[in-house]
Amino acid sequence: MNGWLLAAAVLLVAGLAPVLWTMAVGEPRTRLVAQNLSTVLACPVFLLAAQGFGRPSYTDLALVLAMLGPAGTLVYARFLGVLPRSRVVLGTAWTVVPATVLPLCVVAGPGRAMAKLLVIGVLVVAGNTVTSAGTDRHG
Amino acid sequence: MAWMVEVLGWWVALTALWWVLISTVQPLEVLVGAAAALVAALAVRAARKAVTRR
Repeated sequence: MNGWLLAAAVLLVAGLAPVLWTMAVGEPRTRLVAQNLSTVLACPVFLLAAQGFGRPSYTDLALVLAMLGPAGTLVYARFLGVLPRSRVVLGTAWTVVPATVLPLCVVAGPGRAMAKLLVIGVLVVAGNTVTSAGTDRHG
Repeated sequence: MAWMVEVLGWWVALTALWWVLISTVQPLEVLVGAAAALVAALAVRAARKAVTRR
């Protein structure tokens, strides 16, 4: 167990577990926001696991999730009829994702691996900035 | 001829993205990526035209 895996475990237990609970028992609008938040939290978990276990292929999981997560949220929002505005998702995307990607970039050193991490980070932040903007006007 | 410039721009960008995302840079992988990026660039141009024409 090294620092990276510890960070991933903290994200899973303190972040993803409550979000999954909310996804199971909340109101439909809350569940949609929780689904969105779960993808925002799962991406850094994959990136940290890639570094912690020493398996660079896990970053491909984060890349796929970075693209499919926001798209999935928008698909569910289509069914729900409204995309709820969410400051939680916006705040999490702009704090947790850079806080994981930047140390990983420092460890990776300049090169294609770092560029890949930055691409994944930008995709997650941009995609979830769009999905957290919402189509309704009430907080 | 503007469409050729646009397709070229997309092709360069998509090939660069592929080149960043593959694990090891080998000639065959770059070739496959360039071919896929060309098809994708043409598709992007078609999609953009379809959207803006509406």
